[in-house]
Amino acid sequence: MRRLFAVALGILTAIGGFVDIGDMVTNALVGSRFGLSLVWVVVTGVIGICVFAEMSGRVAAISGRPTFDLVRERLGPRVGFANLVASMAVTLLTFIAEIGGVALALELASSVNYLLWIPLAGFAVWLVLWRVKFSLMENVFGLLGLSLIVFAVAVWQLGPDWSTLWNDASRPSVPASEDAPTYFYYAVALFGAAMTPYEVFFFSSGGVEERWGPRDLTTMRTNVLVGFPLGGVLSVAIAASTTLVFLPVGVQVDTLGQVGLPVAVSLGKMGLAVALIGFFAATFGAACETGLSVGYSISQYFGWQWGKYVRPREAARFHVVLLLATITGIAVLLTTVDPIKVTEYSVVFSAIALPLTYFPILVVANDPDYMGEKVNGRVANALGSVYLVIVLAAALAAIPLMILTKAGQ
Amino acid sequence: MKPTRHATYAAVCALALTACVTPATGTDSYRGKASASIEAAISEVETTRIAVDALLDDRIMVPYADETITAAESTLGAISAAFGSVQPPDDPQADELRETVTALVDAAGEAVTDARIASRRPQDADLRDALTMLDDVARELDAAEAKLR
Repeated sequence: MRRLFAVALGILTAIGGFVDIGDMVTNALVGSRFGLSLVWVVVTGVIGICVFAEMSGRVAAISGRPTFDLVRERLGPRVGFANLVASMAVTLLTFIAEIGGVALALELASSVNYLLWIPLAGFAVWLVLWRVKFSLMENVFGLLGLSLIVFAVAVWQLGPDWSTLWNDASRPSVPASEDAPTYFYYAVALFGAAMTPYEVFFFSSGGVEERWGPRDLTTMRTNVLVGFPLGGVLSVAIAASTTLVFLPVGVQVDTLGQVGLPVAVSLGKMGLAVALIGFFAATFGAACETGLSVGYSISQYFGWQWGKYVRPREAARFHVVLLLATITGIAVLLTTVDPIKVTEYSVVFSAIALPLTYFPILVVANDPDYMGEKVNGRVANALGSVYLVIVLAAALAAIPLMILTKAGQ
Repeated sequence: MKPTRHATYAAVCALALTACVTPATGTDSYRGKASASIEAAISEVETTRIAVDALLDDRIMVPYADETITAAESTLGAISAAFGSVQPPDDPQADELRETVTALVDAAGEAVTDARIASRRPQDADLRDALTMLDDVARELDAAEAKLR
């Protein structure tokens, strides 16, 4: 019974924790401009993150060390450093966007300018990273993030023509009002949002924090293979809600406030209140995950003691990195840079960093010295190889498409 | 200061100044920018309409509607400033287009400002007036967009 509860809790937190500011804004924006014609990208991205999260979780459960702890040891300091710089830069950008998202969610609830909320939001994130237990942090924000199911309810309540929605989603094409480069630019952005590097950083390091062992492999796989796809369904629900309310009238989403409007139209104040809780939980939870991921990646590269499973005093350098990352995030946001723009760029730069993040995972998961009998099987290797080609294509296309479309304008 | 330094300084200043405005390379390019500005204005006006409608139906919290409308107002200001900074080509049609688009975006901005003011007041009548203004502006923007296609 206890094990069943742990599995259910893991799945629920995986669903609730899957969606972050990047997923919310990108899916809402894409839904308002392209309808459901880019759902295939979300599906591709979710399968990809499942493939690599399973690999990195397996590495953590079998070796007792997170994937990126092994990257430098297995691939050498140069590859390790390239991996560190690319992944950490994107994760820091995402961390900044998430703190901005928390402030924007609070602004929507209180009508107090988000710039005034930023120091408080940053401080609260840092306090949670410093004081709150890992499992409590993960479970509370993961479960509260489930509030975003309200988008699925809103779509159902709006009474759409399901056959038209299915038709749009299953037969992707470039809408007449958009051009092909812009369509593919947003395809890369959605892919980057779904496969953002911090998710595997956090997943594998979290496995070590929670002391996974070989016995936990089934639980870990269930969380990944059930929780992440259901999290993807939430992303599609957000896109569907803006497709139904905004696409017919020509609204293009560029604020967090717009993301929640379809819920207000469909479900009224109560639904909107639930959506606001979801915004806050999703961004706050992701801010904690990205903040920790910055600390994990730097500490693991330099071989410092890391993690929340030891006292802060024992992992002092890890906690200094967390503090500095939080101060950097607050400082950047206080320059009045638009958090939504930071989000939009972070998902595209995620796509650029993907090969450097995922290639080492494939290498380590294939090494019998670390993995013993649990090395990748044929299916995992075939999927991993196919996805490496896809992430490489997305990474190469991202900058030219960004220039060509003036960042999707 | 040496003449070469003067020239370099002047070149840097000129580059910095030209970077502040987006030049339109011809009437077609200018029409494209005008069309993009109209589309962006429609997006903000429709967002405000949805928020005001929701307020009238008591389906949205006042702070949420206020923030959404205020953001739309700021974006319209930015759209107006961005289009105003584009140097139109030396063509009477372009001048006429500039006047039309500027007037429409400014009208949209005023309608959204009225909606923002009304959203902070308890009277529904003010909101209904704002909604009527938004409807009118939306119709004019749609017509202008159709013309520019």
